[in-house]
Amino acid sequence: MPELAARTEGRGGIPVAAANDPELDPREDSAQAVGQGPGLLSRLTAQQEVLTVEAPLEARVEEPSGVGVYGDHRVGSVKPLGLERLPKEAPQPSLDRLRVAAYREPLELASSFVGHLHVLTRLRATLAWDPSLTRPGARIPEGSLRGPCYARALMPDLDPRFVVSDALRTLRQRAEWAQTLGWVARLGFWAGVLALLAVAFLPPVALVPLSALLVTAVPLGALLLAKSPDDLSLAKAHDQALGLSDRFSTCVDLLANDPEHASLPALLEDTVARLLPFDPARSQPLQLRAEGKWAPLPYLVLMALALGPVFERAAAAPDPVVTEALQAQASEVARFAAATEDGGPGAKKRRQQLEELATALAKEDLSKKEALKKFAKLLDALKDEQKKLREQEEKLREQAAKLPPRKEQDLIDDLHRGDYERSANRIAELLKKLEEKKRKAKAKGQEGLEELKKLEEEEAKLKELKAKVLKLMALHRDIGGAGKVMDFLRNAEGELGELDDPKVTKRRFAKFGELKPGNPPPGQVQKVKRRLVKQKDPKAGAATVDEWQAEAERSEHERTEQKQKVRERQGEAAVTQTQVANDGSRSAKGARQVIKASKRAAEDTIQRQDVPVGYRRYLRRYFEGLEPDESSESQPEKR
Amino acid sequence: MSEPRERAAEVEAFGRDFQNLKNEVQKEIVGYDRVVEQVLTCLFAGGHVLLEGVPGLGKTLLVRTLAKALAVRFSRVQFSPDLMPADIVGTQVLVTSPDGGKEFRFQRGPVFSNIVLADEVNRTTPKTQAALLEAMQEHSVTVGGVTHHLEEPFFVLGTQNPIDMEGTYPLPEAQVDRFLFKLRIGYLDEASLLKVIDRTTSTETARIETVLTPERIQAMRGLVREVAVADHVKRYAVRLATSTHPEGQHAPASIRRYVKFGASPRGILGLILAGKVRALTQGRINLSGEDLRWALHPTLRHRVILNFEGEAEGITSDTLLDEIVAAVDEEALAHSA
Repeated sequence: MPELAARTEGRGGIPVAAANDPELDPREDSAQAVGQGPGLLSRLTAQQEVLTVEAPLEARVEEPSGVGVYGDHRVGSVKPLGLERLPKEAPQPSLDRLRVAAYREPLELASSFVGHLHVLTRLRATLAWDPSLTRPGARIPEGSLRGPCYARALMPDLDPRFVVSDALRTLRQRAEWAQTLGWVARLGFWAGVLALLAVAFLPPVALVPLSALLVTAVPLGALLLAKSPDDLSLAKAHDQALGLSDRFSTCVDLLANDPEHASLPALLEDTVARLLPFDPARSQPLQLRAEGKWAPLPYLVLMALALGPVFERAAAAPDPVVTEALQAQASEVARFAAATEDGGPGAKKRRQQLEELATALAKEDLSKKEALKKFAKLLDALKDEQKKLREQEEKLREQAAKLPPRKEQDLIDDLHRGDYERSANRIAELLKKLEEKKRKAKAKGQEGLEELKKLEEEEAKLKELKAKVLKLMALHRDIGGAGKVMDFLRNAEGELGELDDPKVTKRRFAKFGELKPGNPPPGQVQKVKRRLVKQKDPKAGAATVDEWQAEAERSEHERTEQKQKVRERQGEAAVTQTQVANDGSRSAKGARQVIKASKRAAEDTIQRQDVPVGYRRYLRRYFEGLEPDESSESQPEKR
Repeated sequence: MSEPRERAAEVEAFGRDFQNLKNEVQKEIVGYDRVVEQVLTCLFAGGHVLLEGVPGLGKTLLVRTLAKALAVRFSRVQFSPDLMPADIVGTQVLVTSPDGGKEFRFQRGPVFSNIVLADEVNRTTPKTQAALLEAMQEHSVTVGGVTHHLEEPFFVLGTQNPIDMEGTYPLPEAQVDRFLFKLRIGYLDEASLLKVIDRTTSTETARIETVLTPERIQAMRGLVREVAVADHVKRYAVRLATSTHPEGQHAPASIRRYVKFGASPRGILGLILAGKVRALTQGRINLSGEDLRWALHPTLRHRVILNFEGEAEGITSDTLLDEIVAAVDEEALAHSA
């Protein structure tokens, strides 16, 4: 059992000694101490977690006067705030012998200077505050350890230095608490905002580790950032708050730097009288900053997302019908890719693209939407490729059309028409004829040399033309091959689009979940989205309802459009106003005919425009829905 | 170390005596409460006062009344261009001794009083001014190789007229610095003037009673020195004073622009002492920043010397001191301790 005993120099002039000094016998020290009069701390015994203090009547067990002596040689850096200069007349406990057990003070605390100081200071206060605790063996309830400020109220003779030091300690605790709380609020708010952003924009994050991280990091950060203010600042702030005109801060400063100042005792008395009752909240209010007030908001949003019905982090289960259809599509695409014959130099690349598509479609977790996107992406690529090939073909054809002699107008026309096979046949015939002419010219000998030279020049031009035509034919094949693949893809896409969409029972909150690794990068996704609304083909929409209705001999009275141009007098803005007259005129055509015409117009638009395949069926359904059923048509019109 | 209760009683007595003295002076002097308070503060701080104001405002009356309220010797010197130093400090005169012989004997001048009123101090020559100012600084005069100590308390109140500057010898900055306070006396308001009329043009005259002895004044001056000053308050005083230095690190822009010379170290000491008196009058045994702010203007206004630009633009040192008070953060100095 560790045992601590100490005697102090105090006012008795006895040399300093301590129980944990190996050269001294604690029991002897204790025996010496008892009955030696004021200024002695008789024995301080620590038993496990219970600290027992025994003292005779005169002992200043509660006085840390001797503690200051400890401070001199043990923990020199610790300077108790003027506590070593207590007056001898300090009040004493009224019992012959005192035994108090103080909980909460572990052995390590009791064996250190700081521990002694705390224990003794608290003990003193408690004794003064509650006399019942001075009974032998009485235990100090934890809640009664309140400090000298409380004691002072009941015992005016208590040295005011206790009050000052205790007030400072209380203020420091309060300031540290306020600072920590402020940082918790601020860090909590910003951490919550970051967490919210992370949940919204980053790949799915597990909420439990995220919460654990926040719960750990925020208080830890607050503890690290909170700084303990110095005593003078605390005192000055309290002076300001209470209008003490620097009394408190001067006390603190003098106690630390000039404790012998002649006016210090009077100043202490004056200050303490104004400090009590002591309220640390006056100078250290717990105020939340703006961030602190909003701190709960991001967490509430996170909680709502986590617990609310709209939140579903897991990907939706794949629709078996769609999966089956996609598998079939994949097989079909693979077969088509295998069966694709040589359609020109780009055939190999197209086959590879088709095989990649087939592989992608064969994946089990692919949704209909994702599959349609893949189709659309490949179609886009093929369309771009076809466009480039057409541009090349056009350019080459222009060049080729300039090569034949003017007399070969048929050949030039064939080239302009794009009939390359016929052009090639004509060139072959021409070459044969040239060969014959050359042979004849050679037979003429010297006379035919000039002619032979011309014929050879003509032959060279034709051969050049032949090479270009061959290249044009290859380009044409490529264009055709791409077209075939596009046709196939459009059909397949159409079939896929006809499939029913899976029922959406829950909205996926993690709409950015698609941005997980392996998915198209954001730029491409945007492109696909834009495609749904942007008309790329300038011819799109050329067939309007009006046009088709005109074909269906639309009545003149069915719809009247009157355009009226109104020009304001002031300013130059011209306003065109279109009025649709509702003049009670009746259509001579039946609704069924008009709707049919509209449906044909819509179908035309669907085929010519970039209406996404998955939406075509909705357009068709819409027009089908417009058709009156048989029963309604048979009823006589009311008007 | 004195007992707390004794010290508290001393502080209380100081405040009471100060107030009594003030009340006595105010029996005669109407409307200049703040000036009276500042003059008394200067008295207990051990400094001297330079009163500046146009004629007829009661400067001389104030000093005379103060002398009446104190059981001290009072003398008045009307400064004029032909006044000689010997007229102030005294001179050696040839006298016949009882045995019939001749000897020089020191004839004390008016400076050998407790309270000296140096009226229109700027009307005499610098030589005579210097004689007075030396006595003010040293509290002693040396004539004929013999040093004569002045009796304590020794308190000089100089007056000067800011107008009618022709034929005057303005006090040099070094000599103005010897005055702890420079007080400006302005015009009274109507209510105060009515009271002045009642008191001075009727048959009734205020009876000024003696409330303090020289010994008590000395004791009170001793107590002033006992006032506790914390380090952060000292730093505040120093910062206030050094902020008046145009080349100083903490000087506001206006000081850099308009000030030629700032406050001297003597100014800082005066600030602290005056603040201590103020603290005691408030029942405190410690100096606070509030006391320093109270004493700042009278202590430093004559120590902040404006440059040509400041003079030309009509800037006053009081305005600049106000800016310094606003610029110096007292709490920050406590934090940096």
